[in-house]
Amino acid sequence: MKIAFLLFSTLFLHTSLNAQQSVVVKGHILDHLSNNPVQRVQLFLGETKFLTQSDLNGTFHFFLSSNKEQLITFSHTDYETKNITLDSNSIQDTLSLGIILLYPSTNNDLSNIISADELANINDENGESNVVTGMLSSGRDLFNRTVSFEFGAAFFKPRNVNAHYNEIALNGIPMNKFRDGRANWSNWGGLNDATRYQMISNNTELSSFSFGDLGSSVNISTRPMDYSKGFKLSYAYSNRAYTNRIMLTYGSGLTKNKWSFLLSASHRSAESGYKEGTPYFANSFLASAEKILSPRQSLQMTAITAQNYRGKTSSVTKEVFALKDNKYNTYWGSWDNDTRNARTQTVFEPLIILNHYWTPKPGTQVQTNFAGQFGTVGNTRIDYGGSSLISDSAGNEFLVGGGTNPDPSYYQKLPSYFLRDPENPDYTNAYLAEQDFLKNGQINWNDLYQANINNKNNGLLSTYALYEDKTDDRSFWVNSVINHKISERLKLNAALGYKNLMSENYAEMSDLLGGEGYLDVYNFSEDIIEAQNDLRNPNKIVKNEDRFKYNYKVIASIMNGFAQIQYQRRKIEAYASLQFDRTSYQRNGLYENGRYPGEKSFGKSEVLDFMNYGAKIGFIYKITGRHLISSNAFYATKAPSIQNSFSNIRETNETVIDLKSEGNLSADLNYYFRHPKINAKISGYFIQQQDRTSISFYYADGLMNISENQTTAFVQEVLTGISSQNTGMEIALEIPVLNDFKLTAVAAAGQAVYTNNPNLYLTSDDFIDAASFGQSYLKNYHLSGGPQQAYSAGFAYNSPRYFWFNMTANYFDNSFVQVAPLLRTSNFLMDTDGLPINDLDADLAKKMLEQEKIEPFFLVNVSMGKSWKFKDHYFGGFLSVANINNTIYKTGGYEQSRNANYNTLLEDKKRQMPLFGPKYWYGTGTNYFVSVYWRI
Amino acid sequence: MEQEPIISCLFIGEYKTTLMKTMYTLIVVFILMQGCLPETDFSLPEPENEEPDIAVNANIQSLKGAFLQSGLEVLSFQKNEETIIEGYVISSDAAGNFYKNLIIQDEPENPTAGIEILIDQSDYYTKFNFGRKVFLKLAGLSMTNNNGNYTLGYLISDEVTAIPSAMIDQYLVRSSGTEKIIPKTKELTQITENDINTYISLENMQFSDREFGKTYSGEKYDQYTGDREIVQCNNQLTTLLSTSTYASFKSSLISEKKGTLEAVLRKDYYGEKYILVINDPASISFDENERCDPSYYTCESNPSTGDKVLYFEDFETIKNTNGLLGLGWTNWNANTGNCRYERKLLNANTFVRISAYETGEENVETWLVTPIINLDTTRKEILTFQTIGFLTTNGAQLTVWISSDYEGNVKTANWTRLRVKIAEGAKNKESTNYTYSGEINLDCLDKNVVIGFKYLGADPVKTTTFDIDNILIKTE
Repeated sequence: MKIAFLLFSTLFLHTSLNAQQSVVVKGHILDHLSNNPVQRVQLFLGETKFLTQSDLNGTFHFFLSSNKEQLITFSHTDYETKNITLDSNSIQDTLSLGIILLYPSTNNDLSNIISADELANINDENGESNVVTGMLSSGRDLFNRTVSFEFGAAFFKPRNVNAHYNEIALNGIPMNKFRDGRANWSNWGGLNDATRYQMISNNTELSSFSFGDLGSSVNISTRPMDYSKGFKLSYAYSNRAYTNRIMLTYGSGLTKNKWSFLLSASHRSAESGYKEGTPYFANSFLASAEKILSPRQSLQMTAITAQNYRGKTSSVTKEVFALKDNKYNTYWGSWDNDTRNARTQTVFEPLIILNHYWTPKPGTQVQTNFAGQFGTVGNTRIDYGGSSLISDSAGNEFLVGGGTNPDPSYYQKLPSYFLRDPENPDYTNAYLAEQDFLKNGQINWNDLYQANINNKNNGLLSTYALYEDKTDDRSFWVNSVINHKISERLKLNAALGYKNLMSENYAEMSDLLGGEGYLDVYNFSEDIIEAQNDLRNPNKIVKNEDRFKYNYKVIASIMNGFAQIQYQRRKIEAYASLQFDRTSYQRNGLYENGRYPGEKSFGKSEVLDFMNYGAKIGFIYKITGRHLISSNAFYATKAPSIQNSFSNIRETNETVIDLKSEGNLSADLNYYFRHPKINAKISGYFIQQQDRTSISFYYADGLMNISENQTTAFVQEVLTGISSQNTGMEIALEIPVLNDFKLTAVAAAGQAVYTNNPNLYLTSDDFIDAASFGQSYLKNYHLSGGPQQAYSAGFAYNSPRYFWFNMTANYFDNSFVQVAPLLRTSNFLMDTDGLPINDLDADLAKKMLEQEKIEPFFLVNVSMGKSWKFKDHYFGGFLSVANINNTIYKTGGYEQSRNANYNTLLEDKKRQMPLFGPKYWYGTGTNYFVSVYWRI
Repeated sequence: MEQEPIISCLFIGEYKTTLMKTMYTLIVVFILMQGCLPETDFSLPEPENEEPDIAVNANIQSLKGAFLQSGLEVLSFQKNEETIIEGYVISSDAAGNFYKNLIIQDEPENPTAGIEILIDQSDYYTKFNFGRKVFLKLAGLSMTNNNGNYTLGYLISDEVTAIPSAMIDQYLVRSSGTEKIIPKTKELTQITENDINTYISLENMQFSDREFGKTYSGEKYDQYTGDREIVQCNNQLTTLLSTSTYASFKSSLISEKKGTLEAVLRKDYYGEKYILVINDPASISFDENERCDPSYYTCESNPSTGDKVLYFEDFETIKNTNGLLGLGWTNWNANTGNCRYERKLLNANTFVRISAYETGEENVETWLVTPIINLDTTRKEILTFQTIGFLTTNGAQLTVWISSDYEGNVKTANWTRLRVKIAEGAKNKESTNYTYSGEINLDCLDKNVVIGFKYLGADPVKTTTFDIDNILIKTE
């Protein structure tokens, strides 16, 4: 039986028992509080090279060559990391380290502060998601820890790599979605205590289970064997995303009949988070069971259901912020004596994973995974274009109706709108608008209801309606990974995988808001045929829970394979990996759209097929035990996500013109210095991305070459062939001043810029052919999405009496507003007649197109924890206060594309308060998180 | 190693029962919780059907009287004045043909007066729907009059502007009732200023045939509004149907049939003439096929392909207007006025021009008649000419006629109208491109004929300028 334990405890980990080395190091690890043995403690040589891990009894042994001083690190998710330096003089044939006591980590509760799905709150509509925080909650690496807990609130992205380049796997199943390339953390949100066992490969480093991507890779394990026995109940109270959280987790350990179980449940809720009108409600449940079939085979099944409901937050202009504050959110209004958010997101996508672990012979492990996931993601919003059908005596049909934008910060409702003419400002109305916005400034649900009720009484259909954009995904995975030891020096990893997605996307009526029904037409179309959203079901009257607007399926699949050789010698470790994949997408329109009749919208699109390949190599060279150098190089092509492959996927089968896979190149060089007096890591990196595609949607004003009479349109902007380059340095320093007191310093200084002028074209319901705008002159503009420079300095105090205290000061700089590509095309310099603008001031034009840099900001964070033991019960408490200095700061922003032309932009910029200035997301002020737990 | 039993007993021993029981209970609770979401099923509001307690102490007509009595350009009602009127909404912006102006009249049936209220609210149809009774508290509002079009609004910088959106509720209060509006049936001959801003019904109406093929307001030259001439058959009087270029039906074709029309009677932007504004095209019930157009000259024979010139006049030889007489033309004002066709030279081109603009003549009828042309010896004659229009939507009319018994007196000759295409010009811009008349087949006629160009205009309301040039008759 013990053999089985050992076998399982070493599966998929790079054991490096080396028989040739003569010194055996032994020891016994106990919990400092309970004196119970601690299993699965990972031992590293110099913090990077994995040696072994402790067994069920807390014992370990490994072989070591006699080599001066050696730093051994003991790491476990539930305990404080411990470092022991072995002196060369003391090394004999066998070296017993005796009993090593580990302090239960209260620090580790840091990983409980934020679940990544809670952070997603901020970048709802236009910003790029920066959710990496959840995956880097590794306690071992100072840099990662700092990125997670100190830089997370500022939406810092390591190496400025977007979230969808991070590969997130759950029990070997890659969770990144075809739609946008990102994993949805809500799928397992709140299950912190049952998903904390994670294998992380930073950036493009070696990973044994997959090839990885440009960003980091993480494999989250819910394997019951990876979790300690016991029962844990925790409660948290916060003013961030939610108010209350209860988490309950139970690990059975191995029972007598070779079963083991992991159960976890959590509930999170808030009437409102930090921002106004943001309700939060989440229930998650996880059950995982493993049965050891034989000493060589084991079977695991995991079921996860996570339900997440939250109210979203808006971005606002400077003008709105000046009138309100950083808690202001335009998306809600009072209703039913309650706040009601018009833009809520509901995620419910249960997941079942089956894992088979097999060790056909010592040194060879095969893991085979199956998974299925089905469920729905829905996002609600208000439609204000409801129409009714009338006909004249000849039977001609006409659309009448439409409403006003219920957004309280709609530009026509703000003071700036009444001051828009500098020659003739209307101060009376500006004042009234300001007073009204200050007093009300939220969605007026009653007006919407009364309008619909009034319509109903007068024979008209709803003008306003609340509907939900829904995605029903059904995914199926199968993959298999082999880990084979060819010789003492050579190891082979290989994998084959397949994933299939059937996605159904449609709008569904959520609430007719007191109305009779909603006419399924696009009310901006003048022609009644063209206005139809579904020509095969014209003038349909929509009731609650009916589908309308758009309805299509997407079938997507990926087949991929990877192979990797790992080579190990005493001084050097190296790896080389290759991968290929074939990705394909096809849209199948279920509605025939009046603007895109026939096959343009109905039935199947062409099949988009992408063949991709990749290669990466890297090494670690140990100059001495104290000095290490490592380097990685990576190149891979990657299929664009579905959302960047179809120009207007809701309405047509049209695919992006000249669509191709993007090419991503990355190289880094890292230096580690390990010393009892200082731990340092310095990295330099270089990333080059090519042929990226990006699609955005907006209402543009000032379009010069679309048609004779029209300069405004709701458009899809397709940007292809985007190249960018990220370079930078990362430094992490840890200086133990005293036994229980250390200083930390982290710097991440990078620069991410566009390196070419991508092509831009627009498509729209309002014009037939795609309108090419040629090049968008983006070269040398900065990429947006988080600060490109972040610095942190602080200290950590760890009392032997189970108390710890951390404080850091963090500084963020070089965060840039997303530039509007349309403004950087030649359209900008064109007059209404398509000829260059006559009185153009080139210097002024240049100045207006300068990218706005967000003001740097400074955040001070404090956290502390304490734990107690009472008989076999552990109690702990944790408090974190972030942004203690209550800095008001912007986490990001974007230019509005409305003023697409020199004249219109100039006119707007000349105003004291522009109508269409950039919109920003504001960060949270001082915020807190308190939690207590009970563990036995 | 000796610790192993301790760990095992943690869950096999004394804790097992209580702990596992607790766990199971909690798990069941959590599973049940999966189905619950916070309240998303919201209740409906109470319909606002309570009648406001408002005492009306004035009416639209008395308001107009007060305005006239004041003699002011803008009459402002003081904040402490408690003047309150009631009215019924007769305009609807559902189709976009009204924008931020609400028209009310004093009664749902047989109204005696109406008034326009400016409000800074779009899509008001959802609140102030057609037929809705409303109360208007005038204290704080201002009133003005533009040639019979009375307007109420909010005074900003000495100008009556829209009531700011945040203040609408405090001035304009809805009654719970919506009444059926019965339009008052009118003849164009009966229209008076009192009918402005009331809902009227006009029978026997048809669009003038020159408007055929046009949309309500989607033509290139339509700016702000599309104005289509509409005729009442009983009296052959015309007026304009004015449609906003923001109306949702702007690109729909107008009807070529005849029937009844319900509309709000208004004055045009300049306060110069009456116009009709419909809420939506359902107000136009033109379902009679029989129109009341004057009869046209028709000729069924095959058109010519010949290019022999029988008659051609480009006016290049004349030096002044009198030169027309020398060419054998008649230039005759049917009334007592002096408005006649004039010889013009522009860009080295000579042509004739007619315009009522600044003539001071309220009723212009002027004829330009060609010399007598003999068709006896030729076959398959084709008439063409060219015109330019300036301010064609302004309402003056150029028609072209033919006579076989003309002896020098326009009045005594018998004229038959020709179906020709006459220029349409931009509203504010002089057109420079000639409009081609189309080919008029004269093959059915013999003997001596003349062509007459008849201009109907009025200063200052119908002042369209027309240029005529290159009259050509070709034959086989």
